[in-house]
Amino acid sequence: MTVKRQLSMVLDLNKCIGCQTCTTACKLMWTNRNGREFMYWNNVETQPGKGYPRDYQNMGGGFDEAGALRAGRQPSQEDYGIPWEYNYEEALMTGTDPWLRPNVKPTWGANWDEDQGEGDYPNSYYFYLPRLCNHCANPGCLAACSRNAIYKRQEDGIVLIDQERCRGYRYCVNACPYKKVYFNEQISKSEKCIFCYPRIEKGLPTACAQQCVGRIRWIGYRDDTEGPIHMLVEKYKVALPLHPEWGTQPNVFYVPPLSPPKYGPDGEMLDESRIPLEYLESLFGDGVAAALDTIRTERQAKADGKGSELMDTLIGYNHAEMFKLS
Amino acid sequence: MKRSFPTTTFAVLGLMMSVAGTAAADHSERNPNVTEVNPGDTVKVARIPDNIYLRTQDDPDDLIWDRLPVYRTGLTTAPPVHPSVMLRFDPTDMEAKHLYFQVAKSKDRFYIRLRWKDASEDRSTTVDQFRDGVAVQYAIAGPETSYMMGSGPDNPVNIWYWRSDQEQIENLAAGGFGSTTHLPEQTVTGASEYFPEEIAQDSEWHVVMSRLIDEDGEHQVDLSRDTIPVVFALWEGHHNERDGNKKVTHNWIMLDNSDSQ
Repeated sequence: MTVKRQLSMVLDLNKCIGCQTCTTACKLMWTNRNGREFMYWNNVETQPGKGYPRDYQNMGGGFDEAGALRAGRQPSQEDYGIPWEYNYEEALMTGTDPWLRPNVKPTWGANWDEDQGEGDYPNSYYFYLPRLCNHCANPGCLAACSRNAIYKRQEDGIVLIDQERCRGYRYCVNACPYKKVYFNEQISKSEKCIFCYPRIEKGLPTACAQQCVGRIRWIGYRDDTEGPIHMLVEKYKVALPLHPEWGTQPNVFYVPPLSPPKYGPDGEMLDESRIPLEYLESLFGDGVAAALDTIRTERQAKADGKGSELMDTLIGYNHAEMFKLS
Repeated sequence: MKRSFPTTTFAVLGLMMSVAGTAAADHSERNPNVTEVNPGDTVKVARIPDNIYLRTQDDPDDLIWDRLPVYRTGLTTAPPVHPSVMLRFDPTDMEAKHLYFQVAKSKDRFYIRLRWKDASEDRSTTVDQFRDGVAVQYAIAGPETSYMMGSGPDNPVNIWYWRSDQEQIENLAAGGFGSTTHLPEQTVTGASEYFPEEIAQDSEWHVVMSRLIDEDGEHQVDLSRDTIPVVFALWEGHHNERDGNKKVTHNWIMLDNSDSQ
């Protein structure tokens, strides 16, 4: 899928504090109404964890090694979690119900297993993984749509669903291995992250990036050799796609998280990172070790007062340099 | 909805295995008043006499339907024409789904009534549930049009699509795979009713669709001509059927719409 230009986002997982401000920004802007209540176009999940929707990493979709669509499973309503309300009136005002309780049985949610992680103290670990549509170069959703309702914009590569053509077959929901296409029951059509294109067209970053208090997100065009995306993805290769083996060629990249060393049985520090390298490689592919090495080296250079263009970028001094939208 | 189950059912089924190749067909009755129709056959459009008054225009259980000829045709799995359909295609599913249909016209209106057995009433279209549906497809030109969604934009088809989650018929046109389009003129009306039975497999959907014979608008089938090629498609929600995952008539059935008796 060749487009003239491709917008892209990099997220530094070392800086994400899991505050869900991006999630809230996105929800308030796009998904708190009209059948989208259960959708989180942007969610922040704790990894290791089952993620959102529940266990999406084992639902199939994407492409096989030969480039053919792989079958995917349809998440159930329970896998997303059915949005609930509380009986505030009855429990707190009229006193007709002694319990404050949700009106549906909570089964799952966008941050259900937050902060659980893996491992035993003192070697327990987790990190936050904010996820949005990857606006892939080879979108599974687009390939799966028998209606030609999904397209990539030539000018910026944003993947959109033509709501006039969509007839709600949900092939795209199945085919996206990241499960970032959602079915709106109210209108019987599928919907997804639109990379805030009305904001992008005005030169503004996406809501999730603008509101990020940790300043973990950079936005720019892949072909802008002066921009932050090129520096992080191509020049220093510290930003990697999530599950590249799924074959969709994502345009959202992650700087993998460093972690402190593991402790041995006698409390001594081992020469092994708390977050197992193999685990990170299972998410971000083969480039993890080199990326972490580069970050360590550059971080030390900055600490030693030698200066580092990479660290200056990753620090994110100002939004003007983090978002290059022209 | 009383049905009789003649003792000859099994013998008849056995006979059908050798004749029609529809051994695993889902009907459990042998009604002598039903005429079996195969693709290529011609079926007469019945004329509703002018002195008959339909109290409700599209009543799916109107008494008139007991007075008009009933045809039955076997629908089998549509060949997959898209990778997404192929992924869900079960080549071992050879079972024919029987669709009972009746076609009639009054002085100014054309009616088609469909009924079929469906063990579950799937009216919901949710994140993980699919709805039941049925569609009638007409060749706008002649039977040289591909019965599979038409032969491109120059030789399209008109489709009337009923879906169980709403009481309105979608008037669509298509000119090839993936081109199905909602027409600006929504001229088709209809109604449906689900009749549950003690034995779930015998439960039935009844659907009536109708349209004024004289309607203008691009891609609307001409219902005044003498011969109208028609095929049917059926979706069962509890089998996750949608789009090309469906059962269809494999080539046109010709409706004899002439006024001759």
